[in-house]
Amino acid sequence: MEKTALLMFVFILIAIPLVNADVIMPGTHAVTINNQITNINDFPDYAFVSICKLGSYSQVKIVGSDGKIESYYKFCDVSVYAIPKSKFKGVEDMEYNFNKIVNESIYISGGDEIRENFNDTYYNEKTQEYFNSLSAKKVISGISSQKTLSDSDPTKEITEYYTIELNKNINQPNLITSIKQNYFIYLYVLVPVISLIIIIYIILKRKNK
Amino acid sequence: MQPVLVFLSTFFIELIVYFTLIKKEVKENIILYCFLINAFTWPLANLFYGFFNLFWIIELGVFLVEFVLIKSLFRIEWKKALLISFIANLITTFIGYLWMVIFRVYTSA
Repeated sequence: MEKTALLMFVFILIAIPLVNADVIMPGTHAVTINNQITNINDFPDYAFVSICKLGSYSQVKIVGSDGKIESYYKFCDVSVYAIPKSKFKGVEDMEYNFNKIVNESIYISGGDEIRENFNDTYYNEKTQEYFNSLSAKKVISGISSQKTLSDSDPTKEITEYYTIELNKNINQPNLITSIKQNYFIYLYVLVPVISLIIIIYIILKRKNK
Repeated sequence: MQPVLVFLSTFFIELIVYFTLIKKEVKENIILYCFLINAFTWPLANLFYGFFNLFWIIELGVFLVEFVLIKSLFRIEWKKALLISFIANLITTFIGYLWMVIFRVYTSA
C-alpha cells in the first residue's frame, strides 16, 4: 500500500507540469506559419531582409530568391524591408548597426538605486534614420511565425503568401493556405461516446438486476 | 503524446480523491468508474474549450456532469457525490490554473 502511494506521489510530481486539469489550459499545440513572398523576383535591384524586433533585441535575416521568410521567436514583431542592392552591405553590417543603436539607447539613471533604462523614442528615431540612410522601404509588417491552436484543431501547417509592392506596407497576407492532418479531433469525440455507452450499459444492467 | 499524459495526470489526481472519499462505502470498480467518468468529460471539455474558449463555464459543466456520473455509478448520496466532484475538479483546476500562470509568466519573460 505504501509502495503504491509512493509510486503515485512520484508520478504526480513528474506529471504536475503537464496537468492542464480537466480543462484548464487544454492541450494546445503550436503550428508553424510559413511566410512567403510570391513576387520577390519582380524586384531584381532590391535585397529583402526580415527584421525581428523584440524589445531592445533585433535580429536580421535575408529573404532568399525563393521568397521564403525565415521564422523567428513567436513573440517577435517581424517586418520585411526592401533595400536597394547598391546600398545593402549585408546582414552582419545591419546587425552591427542595430546593436550600436541599442547600446546608445541604454542609459543609466541614478537615484537611490542605479538602474539601466532603455530609451524607446531614441531607439525608434535612430533606427528610422538608419533605414532612411539605406533607402529601405518597409513592405510587410506584423508577420507571425507561429500560432497556438487547440489540440482539437486539425490544422497542421499554415502558409501565408504576400504579394508585395515597393510603395506599400502590407500587414495582411494575400493568400492563406493550411494543411489539415491532425486527426486527433476524432479521438476527442470517439472516446467520450464509447465511455458514455459503457456507462449507460453499466447503469441499465444494474437496473435490470 | 502530451494529451495522453495530461489525461492520465487528471485521472490519477481524481482517482486519489475518489479513493480518499468513498473507499469506505464503495469497494469495487473505483478505478474503472473513475476512468470512464474522466474519459467522458476530459476530451469533451478540451474539445469545447478549443471551440468556445469559455473556461469557467466549461469547468462548471464538467463539475455538474461528473456529479451526476459519480452519483449514478457509485450509488452514493447526492451530497457526497457533489462534494467529490467539487473537490476533484477544484484540485485539478487549481493545479492546471497554477501551471497556466507559471507557463504564461515563463513564456512572457
